[in-house]
Amino acid sequence: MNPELVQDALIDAVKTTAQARSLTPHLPGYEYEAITAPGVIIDFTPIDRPGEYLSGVTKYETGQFTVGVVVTQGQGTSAAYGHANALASALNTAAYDQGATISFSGGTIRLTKPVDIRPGYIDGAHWRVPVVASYEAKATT
Amino acid sequence: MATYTFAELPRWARKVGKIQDAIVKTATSEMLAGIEVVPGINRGGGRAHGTIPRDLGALANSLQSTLYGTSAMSAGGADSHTLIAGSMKAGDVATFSWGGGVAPYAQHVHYGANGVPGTFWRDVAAGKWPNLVASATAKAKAEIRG
Repeated sequence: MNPELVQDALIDAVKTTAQARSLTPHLPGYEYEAITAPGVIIDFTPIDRPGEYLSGVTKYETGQFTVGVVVTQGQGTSAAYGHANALASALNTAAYDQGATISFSGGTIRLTKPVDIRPGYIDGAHWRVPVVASYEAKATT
Repeated sequence: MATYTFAELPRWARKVGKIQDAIVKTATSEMLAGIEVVPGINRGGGRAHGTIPRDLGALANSLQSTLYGTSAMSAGGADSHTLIAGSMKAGDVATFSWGGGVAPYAQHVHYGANGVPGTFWRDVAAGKWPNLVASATAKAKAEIRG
């Protein structure tokens, strides 16, 4: 199971919503880059990825997919929470509600709990709201 | 394996209760002790996932550990979890938090800010919880059999 495919599939789950709301994407590896608002900062945090089994294939991994919504500071917080709600809804629909899963080449992804919208905070010139999705990816082959 | 009769049910219940307490104490303790404190950016370190970066130590030391939110069972400091985890029984509600007035930038370090990625130490620790409980349960089972 390729972790890059897991990440791509999760990013795809929020892509349409982010594009519809004109949110500039900042993908992993953004360190020290200028942040453009309104936008989303994507982070992947691996939690557990067991070593390869005898077959040479990793069977599952757990992790956290965080989408940080950033808007220009000083213009209220409702826009950021609106974006956060829409992104959370897209993720819940794709991989949580009614047992939904995201399929990718070689596996499936499901969220282990509903998406969590955390309290926002001032990030330099921006207001930032973390949208947190805990996921489990399983190999189907 | 010990065999119990109905007359011994209270003794069995006490034993199971102690096992559950041990699992909670072990898993909680290992979860918090497993959060590594590493050199921060100003000390030549980086921002590794699951770690608390330490420059002056305020963030690591801002940990507040509380059982049921009472001041009687409350402690502060990087190692404050040891008192609370060691006092826990199965079903207890404990709170562990970083930040506050001592380190108001905790959220920034956790989720990232100013173009620097977060380390997500709280989320990584919480994500490991199911495995920590499974591990503590296996340990308890091994000790009973031994």
